[in-house]
Amino acid sequence: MSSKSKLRPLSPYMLGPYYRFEFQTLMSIAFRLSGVFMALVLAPLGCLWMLMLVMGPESFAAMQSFMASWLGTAIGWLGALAVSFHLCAGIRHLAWDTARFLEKPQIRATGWLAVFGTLVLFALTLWVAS
Amino acid sequence: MLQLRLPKNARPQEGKTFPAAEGAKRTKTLRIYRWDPDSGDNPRVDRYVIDLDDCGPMLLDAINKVKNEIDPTVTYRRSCREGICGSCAMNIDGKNALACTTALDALDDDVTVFPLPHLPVVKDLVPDMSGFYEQYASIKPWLRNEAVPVEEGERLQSHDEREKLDGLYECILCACCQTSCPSYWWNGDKYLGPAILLQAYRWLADSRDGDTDARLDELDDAYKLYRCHTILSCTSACPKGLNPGLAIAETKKMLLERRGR
Amino acid sequence: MSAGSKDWFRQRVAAVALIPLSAWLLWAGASLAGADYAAATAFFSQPLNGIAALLLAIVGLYHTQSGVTSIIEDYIPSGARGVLIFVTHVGCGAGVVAVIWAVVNVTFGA
Repeated sequence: MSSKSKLRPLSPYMLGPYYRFEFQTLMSIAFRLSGVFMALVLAPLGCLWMLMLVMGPESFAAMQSFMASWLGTAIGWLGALAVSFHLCAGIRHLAWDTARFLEKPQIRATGWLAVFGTLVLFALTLWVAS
Repeated sequence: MLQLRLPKNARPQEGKTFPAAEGAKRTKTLRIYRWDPDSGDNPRVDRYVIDLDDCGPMLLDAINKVKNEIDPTVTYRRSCREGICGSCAMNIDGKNALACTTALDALDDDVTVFPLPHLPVVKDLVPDMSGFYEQYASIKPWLRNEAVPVEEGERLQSHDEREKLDGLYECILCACCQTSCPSYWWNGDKYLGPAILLQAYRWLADSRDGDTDARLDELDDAYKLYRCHTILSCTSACPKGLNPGLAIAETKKMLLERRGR
Repeated sequence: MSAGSKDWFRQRVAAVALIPLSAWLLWAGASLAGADYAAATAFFSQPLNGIAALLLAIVGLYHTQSGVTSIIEDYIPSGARGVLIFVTHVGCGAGVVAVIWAVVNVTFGA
C-alpha cells in the first residue's frame, strides 16, 4: 500500500490546461500580479526616485531622463495601471472581509465595477499627467 | 508550493479510441482519464464515443454506459445518482462538478472527464481522499458542549438560530470546492481548504455548540484558515449552490470581532 | 492572538490607510511626470506632500512586505522560503529608511 501510494500520480490540476480560467480566478491573478509588479518594480523605482531627488539637480535630471525613455514611460503607465487596479480590487477585497458582496451575482458585479473603476482612475491619471 | 508542470509520472498521454455502436446518429465523445496502478505506465486519456439516442440524460448515465457496454475496466465512484451522496465528483471539462447532476445537453461534443484535481490517483477517476477526511476529522465536526441540556436532554434552538445553518448543513463533502481552490493545490497539507472551513463554520454558527472560543483558537493560524485569499473558485464550483467563500469570510469576521472584545 | 489573524488584521489596516495614499500616489506621479528639479523640490517642499510620501513609504512597504511574504509562503517550499522572506523584510526596511531620509532632507530641509 505505502510503496504503491508513492507511485500514485497526482491528478492534473493546472489552470489553463486542466482547470478552467473563470472571471473570479482571472481577477485574483491580476490582483496578485499588480501587487508583485508594484513590489518588484514600482516601489524600488519610487525609492530610487526620491533618493536621486535628494542627491541634487544632476542626478535628478538623469533619473527624469530615464523616466522619459521608452522603458521609463512603459513602467510609468504600467505602474499607474497596477496602482489603479490594486486599489479598486483591494477595496472589493476589503468589502468581502466584512462578509458582504459574496453572493455569486455580486462577485461578478463588483468585479466588473473594479475593472471599470480601474479604467476611470487610469484615465484620470493620464489626464493629470498630460 | 507552485508547480508549473505535473510530475513526470503524472502527465497524461493519448490513449485508445472506442468508436460508437454502428448506426449511431447523435454522438458525444467522452475523453476519460485512465490510470492503472498495476501497469506502471503513465496516465492516459481514452476516448469513448457514445450514442446519445441510447443513453440517459446525465453525464453519469454516459459513464455508466461506457462501463456497462464498452469498457468494464473504467473505474469511478458513484452511488445515489441524484446529487446527495457526493461520490461522483470529478473534473468535467475543466470544472469540478457531480457527474450525476451534469446534463449531457449542457456539455460540448467532446467532454473531458478527469479525477478531482491535485489528489493522488488510486485508479482512473478515483482519487485518494484520505487527507481530506483527516482534515475533516481534525476540526472535530460534532456538537461540543459540556453544559447540561435544558428540558431533559434537548438543546432548544429558535427558528432564527436554526436558519443560521441553512446553506451550511446541506454540504455533502464531495470535495468539488476543496479541489478547485488554487491555494489548496499549493498548500493542501496545511491549509484546511473551503469544504473543511465551511464545515468548521457550520459548528461556529450553531447556537447549540458551546466550544466557539476553542474552535476559533484552532482555526487562528496562518495556514489552516488564512491561506484563503478569497479567490472564490470554491463558490463557483459548489454543485449544491453553497457558498464556502462566504462561510470563510464569516469565520474571519468572527475572529476579527473576538479581537475587539 | 496567533500569527494568523494578527497579520491578516494588520495587512487590512494598512490596506485601508492605503486607499487615500495610493490615490495621492497616482496624482503625485502624474503631476511629477517630466518635472524638472525646481518643480519637484517645490512639490515636496509642501509639508502635506512630504508627509504623504512618508506615510506611503511606511504603510505601503509594510503592506508590501506582508503581501510578498504571503506569496512566498504560498509558492516556495521551506528551504528557500526563510531566506526570501528575510530578503523581503530587509528590502522593505531599506526602502522605508531611504524615503524617510529623502523627505527629511527635501521637505524639512535638515
